[in-house]
Amino acid sequence: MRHVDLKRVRHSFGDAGPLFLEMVASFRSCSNDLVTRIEDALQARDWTELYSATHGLLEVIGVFSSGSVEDLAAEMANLAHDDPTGQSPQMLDSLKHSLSELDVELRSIARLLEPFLPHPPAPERGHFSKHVCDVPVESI
Amino acid sequence: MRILIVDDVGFMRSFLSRMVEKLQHTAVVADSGSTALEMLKNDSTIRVVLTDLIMRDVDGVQLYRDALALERLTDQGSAALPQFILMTAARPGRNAQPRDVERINLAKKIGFFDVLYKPFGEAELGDILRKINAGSSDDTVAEDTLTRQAADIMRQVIATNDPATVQKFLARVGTDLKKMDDLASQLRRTSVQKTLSFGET
Repeated sequence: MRHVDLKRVRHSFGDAGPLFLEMVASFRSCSNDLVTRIEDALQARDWTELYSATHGLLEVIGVFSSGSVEDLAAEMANLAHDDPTGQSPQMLDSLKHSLSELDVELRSIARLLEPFLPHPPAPERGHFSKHVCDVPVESI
Repeated sequence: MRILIVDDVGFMRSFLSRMVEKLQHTAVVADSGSTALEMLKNDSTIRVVLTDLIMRDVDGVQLYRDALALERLTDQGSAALPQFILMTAARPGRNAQPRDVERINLAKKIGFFDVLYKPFGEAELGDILRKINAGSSDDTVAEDTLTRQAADIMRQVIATNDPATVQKFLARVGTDLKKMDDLASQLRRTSVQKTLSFGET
């Protein structure tokens, strides 16, 4: 495991295994949504939107990881007000790569845990907005 | 307690709602500051607002300021402002911009109950909610509507963060405080006299 911080996961979820499974299942769609917001903001050079989206991503990542992927998101958030050296696009590529690795790791853990936990409840209506994470929770 | 979670990231709203429900409270959610204001206006049973700092429309601190101006009416009169908790992934000394640090410090100054740095766990949130719950049950015994309104007005003055306004307010209130102090002494004297006369009979 490179990215998942089990200590962090225990801190975030305690003994709520089903909640962990549910959040893992929606992690990919939510992080993809935020990455799209970041890409659009970079293209439009909209620093306010970039800052808000990178912070959103930082929060989502922080639920599972305290390693390099969280540092990358934090670095992007710091660049978001101004990017004089034009580093953001390369940084975003690394971030996307790390995010997919994190997602793979999370799904492996979820697969191992799933047989031992009660089935996660379906998310209640209204928890996900129309613009962010409005994607049905897919099965693991 | 009924807790309003304000966050523009759906994943966090969902995660926090489950956390709140696991702590045996009721969660309601808003995806923006403006929706949160509308909900606060229409739902006087919301006791706590758990708001993100950095959001697309208004930030968490501005939401608090806007909420101070809201009139929340119930059958019993005006409802007290809920307690506000600020959440942020912007950590001073790590990834927070100077503006964020300024906002976090301002939040502490103007009346937020606490600041939680993301990611936080159930235990940290649970501790804060317990403190709020304990405080508000004392409040219901100790505070009447007028006292609560006075406290809200004082919070509004503090929220201006303007020394001149605070100065003016203190000068104005000073005279009234003197009158209230005189009244309280008079009441104490009356009460002592009553006790003494009761003792004589």
